[in-house]
Amino acid sequence: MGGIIDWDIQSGVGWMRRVCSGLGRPAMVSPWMEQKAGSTTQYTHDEYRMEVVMSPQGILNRLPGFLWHDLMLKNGGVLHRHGYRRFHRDKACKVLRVFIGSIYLMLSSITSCLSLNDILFAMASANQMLSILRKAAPRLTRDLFTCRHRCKSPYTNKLSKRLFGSSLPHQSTDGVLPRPSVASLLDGAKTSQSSPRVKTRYFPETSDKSVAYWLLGSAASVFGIVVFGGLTRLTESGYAIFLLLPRLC
Amino acid sequence: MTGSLPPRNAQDWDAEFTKYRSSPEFKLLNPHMTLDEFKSIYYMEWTHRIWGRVVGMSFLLPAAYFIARRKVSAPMAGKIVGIAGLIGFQGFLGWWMVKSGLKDDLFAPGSHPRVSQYRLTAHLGTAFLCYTAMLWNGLSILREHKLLADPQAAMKLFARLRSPELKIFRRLVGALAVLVFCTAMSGGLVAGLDAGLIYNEFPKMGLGWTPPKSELFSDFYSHTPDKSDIWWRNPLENPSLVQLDHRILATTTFTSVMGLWAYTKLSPVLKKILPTACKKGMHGVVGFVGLQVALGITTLLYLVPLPLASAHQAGSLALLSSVIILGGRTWVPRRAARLASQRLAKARGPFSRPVV
Repeated sequence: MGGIIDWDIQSGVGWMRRVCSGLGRPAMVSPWMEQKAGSTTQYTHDEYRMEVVMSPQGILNRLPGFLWHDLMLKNGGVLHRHGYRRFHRDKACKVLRVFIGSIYLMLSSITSCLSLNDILFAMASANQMLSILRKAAPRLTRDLFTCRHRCKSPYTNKLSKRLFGSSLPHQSTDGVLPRPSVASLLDGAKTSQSSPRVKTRYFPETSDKSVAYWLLGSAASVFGIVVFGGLTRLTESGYAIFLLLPRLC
Repeated sequence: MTGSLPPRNAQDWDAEFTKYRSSPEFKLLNPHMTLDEFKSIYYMEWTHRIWGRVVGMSFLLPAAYFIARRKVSAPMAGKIVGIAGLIGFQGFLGWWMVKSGLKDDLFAPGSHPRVSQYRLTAHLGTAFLCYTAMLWNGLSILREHKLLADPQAAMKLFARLRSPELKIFRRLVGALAVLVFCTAMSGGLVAGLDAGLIYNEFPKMGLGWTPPKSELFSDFYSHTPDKSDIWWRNPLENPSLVQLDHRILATTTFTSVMGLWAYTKLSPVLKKILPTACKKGMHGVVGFVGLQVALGITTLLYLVPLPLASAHQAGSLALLSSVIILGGRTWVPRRAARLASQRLAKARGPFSRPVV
């Protein structure tokens, strides 16, 4: 089963680094992986499997990665621009298909003496486990990778647009990245239809209260100057000052 | 802005006083003015101009800050820019108005040197508009915050205010605001012509309820040989007619306010539907109109003493404010209603029934 994963370390590490730097988090790459990334040595399959694929770090890095990424794409999310998306999606799907296929092959080869029901049950349970894993993945990884602290700045919309694209299912109007749930992911299309403005706004929806107090203070000042102007007129003081007038007349 | 500093030493004061002595106002009205008296009127005018500049700066600089830091909504940003322009225009009108008092034809015998009553009324009108715009927008922001804090209650209130039984009331409040503004402007004309110094009696004017028609529409104020401009020159330049117009508008305002109040108190439909805030606002309008009528009549009867006249002017602005406040409680704010219904729909989620 050579070439099951022809995903070289370099691109994997590079991808993880790019994801994490885009999200403002430190790269989830272990030291030994970085070390290896700089080298040009090729691994044998066994070395690769033991050191990279089957290590806890390797599983942690990879399992959420391509599963989650695949799901993100399926639900309209965009993690990167252009090339990475298709490249990693294809890679992930290929790997997954081959992996599942190999399991089935393995199961069928050792259970050729078992009944069809047993085989189907085994396949179903494997499928179920996989689907559970898939469902769990977005919860795990979204919480890991979604940064909430960023969302309070007024420039969030532009930045998030650049990172995540404009195809997120909900774009709430005050610029906070929405918390996803399975139900909301399901009817993502509907809500994006019902909210007429998906584009981000330059000005907020409502003015600050301090603006209101400033306006009312200005109104009070205008009230005062009106009364004072009346006094000026009543005392016929309007002609005492000639500074501006001769020049402008 | 070299006019920002007052004269410092005796030499500067002398220079200013000399300039003033060359004006028509000095020669005809105040020929015996001393330097001390001149100083006091100088400071009155100087304070007024400085205050105008302070109002302008205190509006412009925070406006720039709020817009740059995006603390205002987009329509409000436009409104703030509009108000800033209005303040600038007001400064220009002030200069233009004073300029009108320096024309040479005011030296002609029989003429009384004063600013043109048109420009004075324009200056007053722009000030009132500035004030109204600032008050309205300030209150509308606070109202929006209060309504959007509880969109459900807000939608109920809007449904109540939009009910057809309240249509007449809503329209009447709008008409009342226009009427109060027009009365205030006619008061500006009265002040501009010093028309408060004649017919100092109420309710009669002279021997009858009004002066004779020949006096009200006299040929004296016509500027054309065929006297075709009498019908509009007299209401604007004849002190008798100007005072009569102000009296008519003032009594109309008073009667309208009392009538509207009676409508809210005596109509069973309105008593049930009108929100409490509107009833309280109506009460405030009644209070201020009563005060304003009392001040106006006493100002007239006592031959326009300074404190009463100033209080009458302040009262007019207070009455306008109370009508604006009543309007804010009566008319449904369209943008806030739209935002409230949007927020309510979002809170309910996509599968709920549509909000009526």
